[in-house]
Amino acid sequence: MSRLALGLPLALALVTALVAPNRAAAQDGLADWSEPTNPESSERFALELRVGPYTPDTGDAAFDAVFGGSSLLFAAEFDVVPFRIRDVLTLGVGVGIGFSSYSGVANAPDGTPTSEKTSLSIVPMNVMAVLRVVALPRLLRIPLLLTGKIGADFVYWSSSTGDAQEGEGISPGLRWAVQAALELDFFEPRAARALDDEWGINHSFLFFEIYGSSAGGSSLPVGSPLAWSAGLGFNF
Amino acid sequence: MLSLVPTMPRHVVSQALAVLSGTFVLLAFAGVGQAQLTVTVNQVQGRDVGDRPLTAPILFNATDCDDKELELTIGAIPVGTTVLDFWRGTGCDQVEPRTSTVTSACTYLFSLTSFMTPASQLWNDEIKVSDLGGCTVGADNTAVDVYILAATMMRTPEVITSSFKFSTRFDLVAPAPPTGLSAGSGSTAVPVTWTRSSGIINGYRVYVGTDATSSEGGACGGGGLVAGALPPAGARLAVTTSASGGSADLNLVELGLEVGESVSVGVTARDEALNDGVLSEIVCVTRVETCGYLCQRGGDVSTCSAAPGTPRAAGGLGVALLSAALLLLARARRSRGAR
Repeated sequence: MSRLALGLPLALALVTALVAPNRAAAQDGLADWSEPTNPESSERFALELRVGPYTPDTGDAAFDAVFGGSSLLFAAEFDVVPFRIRDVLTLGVGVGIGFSSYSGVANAPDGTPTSEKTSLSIVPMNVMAVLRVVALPRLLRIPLLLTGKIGADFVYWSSSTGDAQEGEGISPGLRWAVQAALELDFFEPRAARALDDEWGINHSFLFFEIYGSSAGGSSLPVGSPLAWSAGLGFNF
Repeated sequence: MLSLVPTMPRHVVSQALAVLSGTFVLLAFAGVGQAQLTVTVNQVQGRDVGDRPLTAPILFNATDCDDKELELTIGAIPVGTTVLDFWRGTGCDQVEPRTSTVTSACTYLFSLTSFMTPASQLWNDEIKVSDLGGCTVGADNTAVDVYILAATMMRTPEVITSSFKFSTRFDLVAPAPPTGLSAGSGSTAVPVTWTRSSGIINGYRVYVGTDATSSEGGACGGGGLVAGALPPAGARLAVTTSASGGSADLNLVELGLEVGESVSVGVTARDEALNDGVLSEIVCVTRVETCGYLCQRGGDVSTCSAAPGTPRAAGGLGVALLSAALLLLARARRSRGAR
């Protein structure tokens, strides 16, 4: 967990450093980086691709004993943004899906390890309201987006041992998230404009998100009260 | 002279050329200037050996020496060819037509002759593998070259019209068995691991004995498998692996084992000539009950398991979410279009 927890923010910082242009280029584009790059290209959707460590809070010691901790959770989210207050905020609906898998050693009934593997796979699916504050970059020219999300989480889980499935189910729950994102347009305004002209992508951003899920109910608790992820997003 | 050539009958020209070239009865296979025959080898009595141009040596194993025949297809035979001479040898680089008295280091095998039938329709023939001289007991990687000479017997000495040479290799020695065989334990699939054999190996074969469901309590009787011997006829081939394989998963459910029952397991190596080696040491594999995550968790979550249709239900949820997104997307596009 600790290595992952340190590694991804560092990787994020590295990517940010790599995409940063020279000073002259930044100054060239400083005057207009936060303006709508193409008045004809409206922003209706957002796509986020993210990865981060995830450990389901199963409420038992067996998870750590068998699987040894966290694993990476890969996820994607697609937002539709039908409502907006121009240059202030947007309100939309997002649907997301992810995947993570955990593997460990199965024991014999007497507790001795066998050579058979036991695994747990989870597929979190969620639908959330997404409120994104765009006033900082649009009005104050600070390339920071703040986003809040809340909605329903449905996590499909499946556990198997050897070649046999041990159990499966869907754990529902509440999901929330808070996100801070750095708009990349600031670093390469011309490239951002070209991206809009050619692909209709208005803005791209790197983000860091903290989220939680109470997925469980009467099924296996596979939510986590607090987790984080980082990734790349696009508005188009 | 030049003005006569166009009016000269074609057979006169070809005969004149034949007489000229007939002075060179020895054919050096290296660097020969003639157009080559095209030869493909199809099968050794049922065993496919490539059916391809012979750019690599054909491998023969011990069973191929049991009077098997090498099926050849020969093409691009020059017009006028009346005989195909077959020779074999190791390291000889010159052969001569059968009727020549020149001593050769190569061994003459046989000839095919044709006088009335076009050669291209006649010569799809076979060579007995045992005639190639590599079937010596214990031969290991013995190389034997095969030479085919196309010639015309209308003249003395014969005129070589084309040729072909290909290589064979006889590997009659079976590979050593893998060592260090060990097996894990499990309820459904058990890994079997070994140390790979030396030499050029094609793959490994995991055999289980006939004691698969007869012994209970973790005991094995060998089930007919004996270390250092070939697998018996009744042994079951459970898994085959590639040459790089040093392990395989043995599916105990497919073997019909109940929890507590055992089976004997041994592994053989197969070399690139498809010689099968003898069995490694024999190990005993027992199907045991295992406790996975949900079992170790101790809770009764499995009762919360969805019905068998749940994966579809989960997929349906995903489809529903995606559909909702697409619906909103379409609506947004419509509203934008309306503006």
